[in-house]
Amino acid sequence: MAKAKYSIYFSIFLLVIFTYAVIDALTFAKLARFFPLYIAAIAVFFALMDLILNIYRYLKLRKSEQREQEDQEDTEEFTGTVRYMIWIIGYVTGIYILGFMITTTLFLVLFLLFETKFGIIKTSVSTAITIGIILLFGNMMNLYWPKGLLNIF
Amino acid sequence: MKSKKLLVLLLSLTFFAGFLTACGSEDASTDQNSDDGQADGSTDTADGVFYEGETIEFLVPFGAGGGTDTFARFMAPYFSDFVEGNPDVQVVNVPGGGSINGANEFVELREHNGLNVLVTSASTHAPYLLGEEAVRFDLKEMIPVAGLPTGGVVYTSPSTGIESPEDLLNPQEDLVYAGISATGLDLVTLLSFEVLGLDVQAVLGYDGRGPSRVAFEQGESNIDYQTSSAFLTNVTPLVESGDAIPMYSFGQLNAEGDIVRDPAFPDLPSIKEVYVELHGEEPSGPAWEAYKTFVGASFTVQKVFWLHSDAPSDAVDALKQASEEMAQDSEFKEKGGEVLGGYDLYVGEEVDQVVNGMLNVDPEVVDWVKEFLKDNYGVERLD
Amino acid sequence: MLEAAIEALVMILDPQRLPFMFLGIAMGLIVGILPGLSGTVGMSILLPFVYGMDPYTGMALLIGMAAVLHTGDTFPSVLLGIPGSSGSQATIMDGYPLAKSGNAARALGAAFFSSLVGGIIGGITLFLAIPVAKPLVLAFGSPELFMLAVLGLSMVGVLAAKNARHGLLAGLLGLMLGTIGGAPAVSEYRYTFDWIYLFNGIPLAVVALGLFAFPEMVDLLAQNRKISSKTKLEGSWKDGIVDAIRNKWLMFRSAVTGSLIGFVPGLGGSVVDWISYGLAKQTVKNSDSFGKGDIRGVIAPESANNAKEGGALIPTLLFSIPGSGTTAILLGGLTLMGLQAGPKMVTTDLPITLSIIWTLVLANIFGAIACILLSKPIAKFSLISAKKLVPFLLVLLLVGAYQSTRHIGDMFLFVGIGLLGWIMKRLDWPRAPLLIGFVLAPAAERYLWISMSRYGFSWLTNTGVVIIGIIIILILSSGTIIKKLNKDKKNNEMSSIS
Repeated sequence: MAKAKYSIYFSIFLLVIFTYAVIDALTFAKLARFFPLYIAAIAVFFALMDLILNIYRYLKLRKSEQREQEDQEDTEEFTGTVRYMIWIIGYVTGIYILGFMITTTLFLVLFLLFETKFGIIKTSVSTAITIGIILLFGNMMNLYWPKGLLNIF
Repeated sequence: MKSKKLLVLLLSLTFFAGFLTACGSEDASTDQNSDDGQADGSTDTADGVFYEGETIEFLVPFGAGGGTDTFARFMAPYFSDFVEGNPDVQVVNVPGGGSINGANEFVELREHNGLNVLVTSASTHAPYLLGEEAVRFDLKEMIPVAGLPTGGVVYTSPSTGIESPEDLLNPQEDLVYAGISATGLDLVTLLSFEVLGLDVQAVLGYDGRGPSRVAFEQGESNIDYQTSSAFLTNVTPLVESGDAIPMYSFGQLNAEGDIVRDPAFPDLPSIKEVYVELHGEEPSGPAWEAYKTFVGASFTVQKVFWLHSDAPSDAVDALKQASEEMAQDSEFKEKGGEVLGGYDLYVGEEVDQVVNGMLNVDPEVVDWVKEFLKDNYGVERLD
Repeated sequence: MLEAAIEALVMILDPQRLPFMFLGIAMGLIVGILPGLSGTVGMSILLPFVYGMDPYTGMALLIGMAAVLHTGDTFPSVLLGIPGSSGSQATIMDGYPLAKSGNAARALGAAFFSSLVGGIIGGITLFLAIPVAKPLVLAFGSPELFMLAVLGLSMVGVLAAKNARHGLLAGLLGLMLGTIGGAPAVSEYRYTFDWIYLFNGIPLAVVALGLFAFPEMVDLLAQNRKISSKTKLEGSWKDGIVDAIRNKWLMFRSAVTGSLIGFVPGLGGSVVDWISYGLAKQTVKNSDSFGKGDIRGVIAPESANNAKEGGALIPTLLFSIPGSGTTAILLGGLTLMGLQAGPKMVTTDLPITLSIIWTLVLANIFGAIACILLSKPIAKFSLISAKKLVPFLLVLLLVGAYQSTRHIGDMFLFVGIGLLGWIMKRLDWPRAPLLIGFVLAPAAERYLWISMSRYGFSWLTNTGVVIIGIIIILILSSGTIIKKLNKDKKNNEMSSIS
């Protein structure tokens, strides 16, 4: 049930994206235009079709009963997923602002303490080992990582 | 230095293998050994040498393995040898945006301390001259240290019935040219067709000069050009087997702003000679001016090492002096065969001259080129 | 030529040179095992060391790396459901379900053995193709290349058989993502929002990792489970080898397909595994279990992606056309060692070409053996619980993703595409078609444009175009025919790896 609803949202999202692609393609130079324009136009057609089918399915489903329980189960897992997505997004944003090394240390310490429920010793040891390996490899293999807006390390 | 690093790399790999096996029980069976690991033993401690104990970074605005990257990597150890104080030299790739990305980064983010050097190529110069929007660097605000020219040769297929340059205007089949993009190096070729008055259909969109040469061999195109070293390795066999006929070289722009024969192809007429032969007079007019400008920026000064204009003067002097010595070095010339393509480095005053020539562009010429690109190749974005 | 081949073998077995091949192999394994690091990164790491080496040594180092990369990259594909590099995308489809059911070791064994055989066949193909390489490469003009891109795209139809509507839309979305950045024929930057990072397009590694790794990590954490549903690993790598030998015909056929597609310039090796996977799915008996953990779905792409490397060297060495980022850097390495790729590689420089072939074959053998030995300890990763594994994995992935362009945009897009991938996974949309569309978009656009502007519509009647067209129709219809034959089998839910 919830899935059918989200399918509708996703179809709308795709429809918007593809429509934007068509409109933007019209401003391109002729040589650059034909491929994205035609592909996006075809995509708009199929996205529209998909949207209509999804709405139809949703309306049909709404008449049937078994929705409450399923919904509940979904929300529970959903909040879990969102929590970890926030972890990841926060980590990446941190990298952008503070730079890779500082954020990675912070992220590992916090995650291992609060999510993995490692003890303090275990947390610090594994964080230190990870950072050490990254530094070692980065140095040997000429790897790079973002320095962040503050440009510290 | 390098061998030391390789040894450390080896050790770290073995360490990693060991780390993996520690998780389990079995053996990685990839043990290595190296017989060299000698450290660089120069202990010159004279005071006041700018680059003593420093590391110079060559910022290459292209990915690893390309022509500019190869050139920079070839040059790096020589700079390390010839610059007073024997600094370490590292090549750093910052690809993206057709080299605009890296050049912008050089100006905006790298310290202007003489330890950062930018290596540009024609693909960096052209968008600058055409005033692309994304360009945030000003080549006039940088100091050229050394430069390298290259050349190009236009050749045709025997199927066109063209046997020598005088037949160029009367081909037996429509001329088709396979190119990459009208605003890249192809611009010079397209302008050369325009100058000579050739009627050529340009099919653009190929993936590089290699694929466009294959298109020529397949018969998908029948007039093509390659840069000097690619011509020598990949087109010469075709010429020998009679599958390609060289027509003219793009020529080089000399200090007086004239087109002269390419030193790498002394037997091949330059475009100017071909024009005289076809039309009975010296070339002139906006197309010719535009051609000369872009030959200068794309071929005569194909690659340049730059410092920031406000880099310490000690640094500028040291690098300039080193490149002058390098250009005279016989081992350098000998080893540089493939990379240098048979040309000499521009150093000292010469590099200032040719770079000046390249950057002093008449705005009218640029406007004419923009118009030319717009009318013929649908390039609208440059307005 | 045989004599020259033996001479070349002696050349690379020289005790001065051999260590460098092993260094290359070790590097290739590490780069392959670490998800996100691609062959391009591995090559750029090794390139500085090549300078000043003699060509035999330098090539042993570089080719040793490139040859085993697609052996090592199987680990993350099978164990984590994350493409280790562009070559093992399709291995996820069945390798990961096998790992989830506790059969990781078996899947890995089969994969490595197929890799080994594929790599050797690829080397032999390269050797045999030398005399006929030129006419073969020249047979593919732009119209034929476009048709090959279409052949690749038709795999979308194969992979999303039951979910055609969504598969098609995902494929179209992939094509659109692939058009981001500079247009092929004119300096026009599309859908970049004036963000200079996007001028070169989105890196493949970022799309692949975002699409597959991000959703997998989030879901693993949310359910806090181990990758393997069983607490003990079943089967061993020996079973996998037995599986592979039992399917020797499939393995052989995939290897030949792989090396043939590999030497077509301009298509890029990234779709070889998909084409091979799709072909296998369409042609084997009882293909209904594909996508749910069928060992044959591991054998086909793994055999093909190692065989591809041999084929891909033909256009690189003979025509100096790099087919991928890896081979582009290889060309630069050649120049640094004082060589130029070109026709000379099969005449005056033939010994070097032969030594490359030997390195390819030897490295594949040693690489596969090393991987088989490593597989038992590494397979235990699938028994670690998510909350202990994922944080470290995430750090690793972000470092890896960052290496493709070294721009913070890589990380943002990883998350952005990751969200898209997660939604698609949740709504049971197939994600593979998106990846295929993305990979093939530049080639499809480029060669369609060139064909049209060079030949108008007349290219449609070229012999080569017609032949490839017929092959496409055969592949697409063979699935339906076979399906009709075993109509009683139902529910062919493929393409979503969940």
